[in-house]
Amino acid sequence: MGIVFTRLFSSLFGNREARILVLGLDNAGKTTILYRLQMGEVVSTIPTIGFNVETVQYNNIKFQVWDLGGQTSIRPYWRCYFPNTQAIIYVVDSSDTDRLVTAKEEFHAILEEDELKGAVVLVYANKQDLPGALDDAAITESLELHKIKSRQWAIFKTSAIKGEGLFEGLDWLSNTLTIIAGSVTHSNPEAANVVAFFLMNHCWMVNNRAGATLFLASQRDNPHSLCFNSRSFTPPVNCL
Amino acid sequence: MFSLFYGLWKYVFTKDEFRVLILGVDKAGKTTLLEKLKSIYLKGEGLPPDRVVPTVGLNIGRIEDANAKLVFWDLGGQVGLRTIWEKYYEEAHAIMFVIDAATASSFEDAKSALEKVIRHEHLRGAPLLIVANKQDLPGVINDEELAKFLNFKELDDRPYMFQAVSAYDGRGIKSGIDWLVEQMEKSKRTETLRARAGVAGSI
Repeated sequence: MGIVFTRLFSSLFGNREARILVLGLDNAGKTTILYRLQMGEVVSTIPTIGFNVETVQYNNIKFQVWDLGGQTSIRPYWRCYFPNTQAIIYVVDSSDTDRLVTAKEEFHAILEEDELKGAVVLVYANKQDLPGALDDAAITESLELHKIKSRQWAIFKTSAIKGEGLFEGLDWLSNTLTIIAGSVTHSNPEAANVVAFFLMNHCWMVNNRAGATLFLASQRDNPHSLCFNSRSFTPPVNCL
Repeated sequence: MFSLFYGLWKYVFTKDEFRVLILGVDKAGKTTLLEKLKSIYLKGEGLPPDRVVPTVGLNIGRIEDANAKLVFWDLGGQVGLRTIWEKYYEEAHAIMFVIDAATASSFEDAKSALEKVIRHEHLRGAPLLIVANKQDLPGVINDEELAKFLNFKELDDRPYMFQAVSAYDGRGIKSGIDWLVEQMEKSKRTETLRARAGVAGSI
């Protein structure tokens, strides 16, 4: 049974997709960014309990973007999604200067994870539209990005509300991932199993005739409305 | 017995790894140079020049020469981002400083940035290759003219060379790298870095 699902999912998550995790503290703007990228609109969001996942097609790469809830209690579950990830988008609320130290600590803890060794890092210095927001150089200092020496990284000033900077970041990502493609894009069966678990519980995942992957909510009416964002979130037992 | 042979094998065949910083002001062509380096040494893996976007962070290139492994760190050159350069100095074996030799208006900025780099104590003794880039463009000045213009006097404590390069068509890159590798192999700084890594490794 597991093998069937593994096969199914490695065929769905074909090799030309890049799996990207969007991480960051709560209220950094991760979900707003995800839907800005996917639909080009600002959606009103509620704090994410669990995750949202969407496919964003850009520059010939299908980005499979996972937006994981950022509250303290949920952060331990981030690691369930680490296997088989090619890139991390780390989102920082540039105006929340009080919590930059926490943001830095979480960030470097993520980078130490073995399963993310090969992932490139894109930082969004978000909420540039707010007064008192620090610029990219200041966020670079606060997050101590210079400590990263064995992987590629980039930082972009963004405003998810105004839609600024997001696609510049994706440009960088698609260039960088094109170069390293092949070395990292093979599927990891164990990761696929974890994904399967979630999908069976909350959503149906379908391939349409054009080959695009769609996510349909099994319990909610609107397929766009945060298909995976269920209040009754139950984490997979086998990843912690 | 096996470990003895293994040690010998390692001694003979393990290549040194050198870390080279690619620095320079924005629009000098650092990332284009890095990508060209990759396509020369890795057979077609580099990004074409028209897809290079301004760097706001760190790009990395790993290549292997006949004698050495090279890791290139390409850092963004915009004014606000130059403060992170020095965080990478301590671990670098050598520097490539890239200058857009076709844009005279950038020379002053390049000169003062380079002066700062040279004066930094964490880069003491590091071999320096000054790249007179964009030789494919009209109105470009060559390596000698650039040297005359920069007119440095405080370079005497380190090996340095000016090299005319086109990151676009690739000319001058190989001889520049050959020189760098040769210099790094005999550099005192390399020994110091190796000793420091050895101490750190044994702890």
